[in-house]
Amino acid sequence: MHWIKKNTKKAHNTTEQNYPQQRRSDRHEKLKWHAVASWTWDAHDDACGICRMAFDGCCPDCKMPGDDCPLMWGACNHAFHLHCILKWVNSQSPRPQCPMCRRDWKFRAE
Amino acid sequence: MLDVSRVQKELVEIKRDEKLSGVSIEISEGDLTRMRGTIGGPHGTPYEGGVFIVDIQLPSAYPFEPPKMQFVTKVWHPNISSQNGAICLDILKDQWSPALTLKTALLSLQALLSTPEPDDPQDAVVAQQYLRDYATFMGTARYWTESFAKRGALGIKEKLVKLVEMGFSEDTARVALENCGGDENAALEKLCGG
Repeated sequence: MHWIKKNTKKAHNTTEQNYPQQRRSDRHEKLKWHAVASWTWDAHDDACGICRMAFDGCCPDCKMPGDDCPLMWGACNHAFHLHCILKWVNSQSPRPQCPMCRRDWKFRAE
Repeated sequence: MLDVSRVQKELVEIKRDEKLSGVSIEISEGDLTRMRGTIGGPHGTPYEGGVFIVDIQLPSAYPFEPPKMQFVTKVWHPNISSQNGAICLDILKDQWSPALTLKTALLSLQALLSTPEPDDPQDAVVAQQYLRDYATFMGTARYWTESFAKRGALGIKEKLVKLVEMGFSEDTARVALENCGGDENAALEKLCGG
């Protein structure tokens, strides 16, 4: 056991010694770069309970996911596509309920 | 406009575990608004062993409006019309939610078969019988399952003919069959025994 440890250490040291030299010869300048980012809704669920489309997708009436097809949370913390829950709430006046838990539907204050 | 993509997703989901769930759906001739659901009769009920067909129509506002469901197979049950198969179930009416699906609705119908609600009847005659003469209700429900919800098995008419051929009168044979829920062997035993 001791022997292996010693050997590893030695090997490690060798690389460290060589490293600065190698690095100098590989030097280059970055001329261009582009960043890649991903986003996701923090909805604690995968899909909208009304249209069954993924939250990271959009409702059936929209073409592009994102700010144009946002999510909306109820006071009960259930989330839906804004367009989906609006359709449901408008069809259920005067006392709409959450499709998931049947509590009176209130939009969550941000 | 009907939410086609949701309906297609639902159909895939139902197909995925139709053996386990005991409910399935077929579309009629490529028309997504018209389907046929099937429900296996729950164990430990007079509907056990039967396969019940339900006609399903999707309104254009589905899933914001409930699907229209009606039994095609004749059923003897307090909450299902013995005349036309109309169903009295709150989630198919005012308690519908777009979070429910065709599958959960069919499973609810299966649960309704297990737990009749005679105090909120669709068929008053059946409900009265359920409340006043439970034994007769069970017999009739079993008999209807046997006669209308069993494919492949001998129909009740054939069973009756068989018993008549054995020398029993048609009336006594029919009564015996009805009392035994359509079970021809039990009926025969009864006829021979008493």
